[in-house]
Amino acid sequence: MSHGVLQVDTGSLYPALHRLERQNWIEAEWDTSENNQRVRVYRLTPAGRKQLAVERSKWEQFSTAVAEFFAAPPPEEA
Amino acid sequence: MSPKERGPRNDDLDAEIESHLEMDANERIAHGESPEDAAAAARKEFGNVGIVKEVTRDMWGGGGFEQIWREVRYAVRSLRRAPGFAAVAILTLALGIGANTAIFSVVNGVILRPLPYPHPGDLVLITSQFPTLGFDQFPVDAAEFLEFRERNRSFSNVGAYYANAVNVGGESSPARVTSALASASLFPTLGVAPEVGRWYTEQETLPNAPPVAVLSDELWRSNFGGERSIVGQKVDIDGVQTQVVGVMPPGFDVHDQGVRIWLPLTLDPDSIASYRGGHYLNLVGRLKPGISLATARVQLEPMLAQWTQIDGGSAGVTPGQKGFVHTPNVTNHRLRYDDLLADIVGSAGRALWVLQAAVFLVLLIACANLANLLLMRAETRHKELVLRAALGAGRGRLVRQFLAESLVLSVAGAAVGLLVARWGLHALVLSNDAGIPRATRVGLDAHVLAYTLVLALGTGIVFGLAPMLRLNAGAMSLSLRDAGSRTTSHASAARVRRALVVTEMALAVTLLVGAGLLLRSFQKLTRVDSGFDRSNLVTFNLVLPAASYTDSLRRVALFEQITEQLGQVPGVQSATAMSGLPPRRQVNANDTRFEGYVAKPGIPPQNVDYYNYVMPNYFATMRIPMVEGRSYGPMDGAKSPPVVIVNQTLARLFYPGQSAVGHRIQPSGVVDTAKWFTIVGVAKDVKQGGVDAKTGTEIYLLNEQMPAYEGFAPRNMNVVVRSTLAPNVLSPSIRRIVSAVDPGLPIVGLRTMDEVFDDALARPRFLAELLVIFAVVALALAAVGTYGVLAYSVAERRREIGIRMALGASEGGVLTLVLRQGMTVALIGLAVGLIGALAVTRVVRSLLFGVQPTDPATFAAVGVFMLAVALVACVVPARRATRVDPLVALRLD
Repeated sequence: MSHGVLQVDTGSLYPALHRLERQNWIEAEWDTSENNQRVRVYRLTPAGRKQLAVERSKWEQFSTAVAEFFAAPPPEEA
Repeated sequence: MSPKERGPRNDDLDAEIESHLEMDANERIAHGESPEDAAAAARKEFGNVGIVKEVTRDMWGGGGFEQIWREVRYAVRSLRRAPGFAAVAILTLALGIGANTAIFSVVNGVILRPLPYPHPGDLVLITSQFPTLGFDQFPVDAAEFLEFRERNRSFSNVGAYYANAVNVGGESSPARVTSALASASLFPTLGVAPEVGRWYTEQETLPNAPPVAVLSDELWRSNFGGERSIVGQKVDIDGVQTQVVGVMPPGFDVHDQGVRIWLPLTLDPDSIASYRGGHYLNLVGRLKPGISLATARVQLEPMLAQWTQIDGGSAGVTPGQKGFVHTPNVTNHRLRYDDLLADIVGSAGRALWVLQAAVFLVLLIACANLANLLLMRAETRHKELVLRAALGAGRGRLVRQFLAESLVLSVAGAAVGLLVARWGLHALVLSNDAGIPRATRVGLDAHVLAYTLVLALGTGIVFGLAPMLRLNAGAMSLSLRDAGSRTTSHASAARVRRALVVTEMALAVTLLVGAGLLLRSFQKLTRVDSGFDRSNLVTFNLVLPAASYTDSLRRVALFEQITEQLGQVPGVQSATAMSGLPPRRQVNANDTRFEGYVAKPGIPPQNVDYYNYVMPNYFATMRIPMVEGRSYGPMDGAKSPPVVIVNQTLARLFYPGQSAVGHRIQPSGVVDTAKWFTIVGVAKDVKQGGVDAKTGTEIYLLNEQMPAYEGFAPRNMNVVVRSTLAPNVLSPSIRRIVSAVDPGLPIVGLRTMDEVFDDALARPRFLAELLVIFAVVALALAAVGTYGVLAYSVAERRREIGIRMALGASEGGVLTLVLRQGMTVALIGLAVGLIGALAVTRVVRSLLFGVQPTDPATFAAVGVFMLAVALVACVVPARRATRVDPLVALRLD
């Protein structure tokens, strides 16, 4: 969970999951949960792991850049 | 992924979402919520299950066909959710596409479909011209035919025919059928082989050859049971036992004459000189391979010069004048070539194209209306669209979705439209004789179906594009947060909607003007003075077979006997007979001598357009007033000095500034050229050669004087009965009287004179009627469009109107506000439409009669009518606006 910052209907998860599945980044299978309910379990594939690493490093670069921008002292006023 | 795998995968998705909702609900129940609340809350948090599923499935991808199929399924599902919208759209399209299909099937059947002969493009109709007499297309004489066959280098074969009618069959039930006297060469020229038996030979067209006939398939089946054994048998044709030698295949015809029986055109090559000047044949030639119509026309010129060299020159001499030799030449008696199909279609072509254009405009208006509907629908579905976009549906996907929806609508509309077309074709075109050639074989064939399909796809794409303008206008850039708001004023969308309504109005106005002009033309045609009183007149036609009525005295006596007996029937005031039936007579153009004639500029050549053989009580029965002199009377006996009555046009042209009475003329074919016919009266002009045509010159000859002075009497006469009784009431008496005189005579074309004239106006009436229907449909669509856009705009502006009213605006003020908005659009449409009409109506100039294409009355009437309709369309939403309750309106947000 992301601390409720992104408030979207939970249903919007599914188009996203299925898109990832189509890229072969995740795979899904039916399983049974601890309280005996049939659930669909999604797992990262090796390709998905690789893609995640790529995206994560992109994100880290971006967020570092943004953080540095705000951390830098404001320019002196002329 | 194959469609087979698709099913289980769909089930998977359903199960997955189901388990999601269940788990969420269970969790909520564990937290103490009631099961109902828990389920509802889980759903609420999940969002729109249907849309999530749809967008998710889109992520699966798939092949082209599968994607299309999915789009179509979505489209059908989403249209089901809006049945009112779908019904309106499909019905509008069904009308638009159906009308287009119906008219196109006529255009296709009449203009586009080739003639049913091999290489039909090589067939040429050959006729003659008399430029100095003003005859642009005239038959040729038999001498010209025989010589033309010999001398031309352009045609591989040339055939001649003359369409007529004969009485066929037994003593009990004689039938009158259309016949053609045709040369033996007509068949190889047309290139169609008989279905049974053979065609007749050149030998069988020589004088004294035993009589033979070739039947059409239609006559063979209707009158002779379709038995192959008919070939070789003898049938009675005009009283002559004639051997049937062959049967032609179904639909075989020449120049759309509806010929049912083919008889040899008997010509004697040794009597060529005696054939000169008797113009009654039409020729059909087949161009030699590699020779075009244009080349043939070039090759004609040396031929015309050659004729003068061989048979004597008369160039520069007017026909009818002394010294004129009746052969083709370069100046005053030319030959003329026309493409056979183009000649058959003739002036009907323009009328049909005008109808096609008109009905296409109706479809364009329908498309504009639907585009508006889809635009508004796109706006009401704005929230759904934004939601789909947020879930990850691509822009292309949404565009495809809109197109799929409009295509599903247009294809459904086209399917219903085909039914409309079938019905319309029968109701409007085929069931009434519209005076259109080749109309009998019009139908919905493969070409027409292809046209309908193209129309369906085309319209679907055209009006489906409209909501995409809306997408471009920024729908996709809106955030989810704005999706619920109704206050956004979509200025650009409103502009598009208004532009569409202006277009609709303009097109409707153009159509209305065109329809109005043709309607006025038709009214003027019906009001043309025919020259006689045609109410309470019943007419029918009798033809005496040549074989049994060789004696001309017997012919005269027969018509006297029949008319005398008819005159005694109760309810009949008088009965008479005439050879020519107005208003669609073929011109005779007979050479006629005028005593003391001096050729002068302004005086026409010695030729008379119409000869009419009549009985003494003719003028009284027809109620044709005498302008000068007297009518025929008891003093005019069969052997008393020959007399003639002329019409006003002849008197004016040949005797300008003086009285025609007392002058003498000599009709062609007199027994004794020393005998001159004295003009005893001048009769009012009668419209013989067309209601819309200038009246020609005409002489009335006394039928009973013909045997003595012309050695002849007509076999073909039209009996006219003045009676207040209807034809069906008179019919038994007529049949009894005619069959008592000769049981073998068929009674042909029994109807009122009003019906005869109505038939002559069938085409202009058909054209005006259909155009008026289309124009009214167009205006109704445009009015509905105006209403729709205005009503939508009022709904959109409810808050604004509410505020205005809360601030003290009067009802009248609000009414004016909305009306002004609507009428501005209507006025712009009217102005554009009238300007467009000025540019377009020139196209219909040749279809008009007595009305200018810029007729101010028509334009003014259309303007007033259209504004009235627009006002009605605007008043309803405007009145609704005045009923806005400010409190309710303000509370809406």
